[in-house]
Amino acid sequence: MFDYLDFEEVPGKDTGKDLKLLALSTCGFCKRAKAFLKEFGLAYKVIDVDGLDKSIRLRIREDFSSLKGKAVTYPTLMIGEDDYLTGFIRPLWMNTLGLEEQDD
Amino acid sequence: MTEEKIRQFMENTARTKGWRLTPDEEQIGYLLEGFAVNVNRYGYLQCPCREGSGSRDRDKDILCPCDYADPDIAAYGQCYCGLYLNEETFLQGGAPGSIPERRPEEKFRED
Repeated sequence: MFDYLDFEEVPGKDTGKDLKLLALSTCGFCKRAKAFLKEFGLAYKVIDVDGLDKSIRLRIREDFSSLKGKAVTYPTLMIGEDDYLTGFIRPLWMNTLGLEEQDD
Repeated sequence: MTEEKIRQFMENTARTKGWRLTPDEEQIGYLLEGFAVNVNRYGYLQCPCREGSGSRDRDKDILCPCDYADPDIAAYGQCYCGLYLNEETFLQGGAPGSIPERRPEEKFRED
């Protein structure tokens, strides 16, 4: 999904799943999501949607709603082809990605 | 508009509306940066947590404070960005988290 987008690849640990983060460069929870993925050192792909042409942004909206049956909001983390997380809620992201809190 | 001016706007809005600003300074910092980008990009204080159209008229419902902040704060104790809180949520503390989007999808698709 979203193969037509030019994602930036962030190197890190391979989770065995293709993680694609759709974000807004301005959004607080998107920044928290990026910080979260960095904290756990996960490999993922990311794109800031607000930097794209309107036609592409509309295509993202149409594709997401037609495939997932709901409106896209940001951040959205696509997990492989079928799963996804929308919004950033740390405990939910940890559970879904099978992560545990790390000691400092 | 400088981030200092934007912060004053946030504080004035919270005071006027009877809300509290999140005590999470990291979140405030993220949102200050986002607002500053939107002011430079669009010329107005559009909600940084939503896509903008570039038209102030079409985005008037998501100018800060957005039209959805009152019902979101009533339902979830916070606005969509996690910037403005009610007293109860403010006193609870804790890391902010996303809430569901209340803005109708068609608003994002208007030409």
